[in-house]
Amino acid sequence: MKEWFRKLSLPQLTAVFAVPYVIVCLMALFPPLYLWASGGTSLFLGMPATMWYWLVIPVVCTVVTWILFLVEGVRGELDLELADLDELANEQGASE
Amino acid sequence: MSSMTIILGMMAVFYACVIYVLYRTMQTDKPSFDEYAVGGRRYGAVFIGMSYVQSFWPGVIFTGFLGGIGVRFGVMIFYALAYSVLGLVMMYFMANRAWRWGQRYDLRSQPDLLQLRFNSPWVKIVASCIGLIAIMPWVILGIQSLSVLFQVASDFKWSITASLVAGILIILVRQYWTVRMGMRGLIMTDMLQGSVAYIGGAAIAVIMMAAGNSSPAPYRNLAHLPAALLHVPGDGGSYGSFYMFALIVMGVIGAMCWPMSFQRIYTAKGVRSVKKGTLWALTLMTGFLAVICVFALAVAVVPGLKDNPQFAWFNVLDMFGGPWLVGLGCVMILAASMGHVDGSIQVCGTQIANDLVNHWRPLKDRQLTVVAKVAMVAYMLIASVLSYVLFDVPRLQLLAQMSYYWVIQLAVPLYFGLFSRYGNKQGVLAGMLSGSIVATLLTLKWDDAIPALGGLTAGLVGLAVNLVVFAVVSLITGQSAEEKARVNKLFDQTSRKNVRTARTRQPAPVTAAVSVAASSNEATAAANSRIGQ
Repeated sequence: MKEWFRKLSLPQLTAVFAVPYVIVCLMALFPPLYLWASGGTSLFLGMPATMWYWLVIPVVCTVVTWILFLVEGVRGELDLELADLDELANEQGASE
Repeated sequence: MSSMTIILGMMAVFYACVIYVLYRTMQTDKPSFDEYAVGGRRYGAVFIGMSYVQSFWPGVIFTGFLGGIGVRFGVMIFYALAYSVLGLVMMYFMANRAWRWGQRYDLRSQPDLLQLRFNSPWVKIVASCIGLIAIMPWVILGIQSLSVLFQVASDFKWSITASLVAGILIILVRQYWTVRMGMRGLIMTDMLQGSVAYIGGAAIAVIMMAAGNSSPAPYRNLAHLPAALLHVPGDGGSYGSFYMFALIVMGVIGAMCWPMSFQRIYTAKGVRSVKKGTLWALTLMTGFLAVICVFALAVAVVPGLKDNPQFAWFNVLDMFGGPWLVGLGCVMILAASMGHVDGSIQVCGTQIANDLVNHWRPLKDRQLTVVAKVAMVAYMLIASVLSYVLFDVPRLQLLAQMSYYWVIQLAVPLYFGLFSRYGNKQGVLAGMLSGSIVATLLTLKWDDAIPALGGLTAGLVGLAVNLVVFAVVSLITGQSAEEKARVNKLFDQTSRKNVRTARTRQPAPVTAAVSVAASSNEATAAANSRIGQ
């Protein structure tokens, strides 16, 4: 699994994680969706469905962002020193 | 023992604990400006996370939101949960570029970053002024909300004036330490205050919902909610269908526009800390707010609370646990409110010294710290006087609403500045100013929703104008080749593609050490040249 994430290109990684973020953004911001869920009285675990709808958004956001953090850690994107980035930016500038 | 003695005593004990933490954690009486403004960029994830939540949610979550929105309007309260969490996700995505630019160019404030990106001190000055003005009404409301707390604590035996003076005094004494210690004082006490306010608040709500018959607001109340409480604005009623959208989208984009929230990025010791801190904040925010929102609905059907929903929190605590629990509830509001006011004042002092005074009269490190301290004292005194003079002035709420609309105008330069190479200083300045003016004028007529626009707010219309003006003016005025190269270099320095490639390399230790030293020298030189601009 780690190797699979390491091999993903940036556009592929972005596409994988964009899906859940787009879904929760639509749930929170797209009026036809939240108006569809509004007023839902059927109970699930003793709580009306419309409340569950709004609870799904933060839970998905939190879980997906934790996973993204772990993946970025596996790919080594979190701890890079400025010096390493400078070196690469300079090389790029020279090659251009 | 009277309930007043119990509640005030509990608040006094907690206040003493906060002062003790400040006293114990003070390392130096003469911090450098970097230490004073951003805590020396050395804090870990848990501190960053808690500090962010403190800067974001004041004590009003227990009164204005839980009671004023949850108890009165029901499921609408969930908009607060949605925008808080989505706003934090934005912070996560900003972390890489914002922190790395911050470290490289010694940035200490959000306007500092905007100056770097758009290469204009005027962008910094305008952005800083918008932030400083927008924060003031919220500091005033924060101090005034403490007066309500003292009224409850005194069982309404203290007059409004006496309660207000007590609220002002408690903040003034607390500020003595914030002024001395700067960011470190905030971060240390945020941990204590945040734990009590958010973890404690959520725990009490869970216990009350789980307590069954002995609780006035058990979980089973949720099965008997009236239909009116389950509809969001726009689903029937007088609001348009875009009202909920407007509330959430303003919260999401506004989250990082508040200077005190953004400042937390620069207190971290690395990108990993910022991101992990964001995740802790996300987890805490989700846990706390989800419980509070559900609890608000469970409280909404308790008889007798609708007449005075702002006091619903205190009333249900009193029904369940008497004055001891009310005392704990008051301590939570005190903790959340103090943290928020402190964070606001600290960032204002930093911005006045760093963004304004330092622009017209470049200062040395020690002078910057002194000016920041003086600015914090002055800002606090002005807020204290205004909170007294403007007490019971209903238009203050309007001013607070307007200030929210102003601060989201920073979203255009902030988001375009961090996520796109498009735009220039002319576009940013014209956009921010036109957006703020439009938002102000429209708010005078429609302080809430604009019915003709389906429930959109004046702030969002201002933001749309801001965006269009920014895009058009930037397109017309364009970027010089030199400016394009400068912006490209900035982005290349933090490109994720570069991060990936560089990570796969294994530089020899000696080379790496030399490279770090060279980079450090360059950063110092860049910072010096920036200050000299």
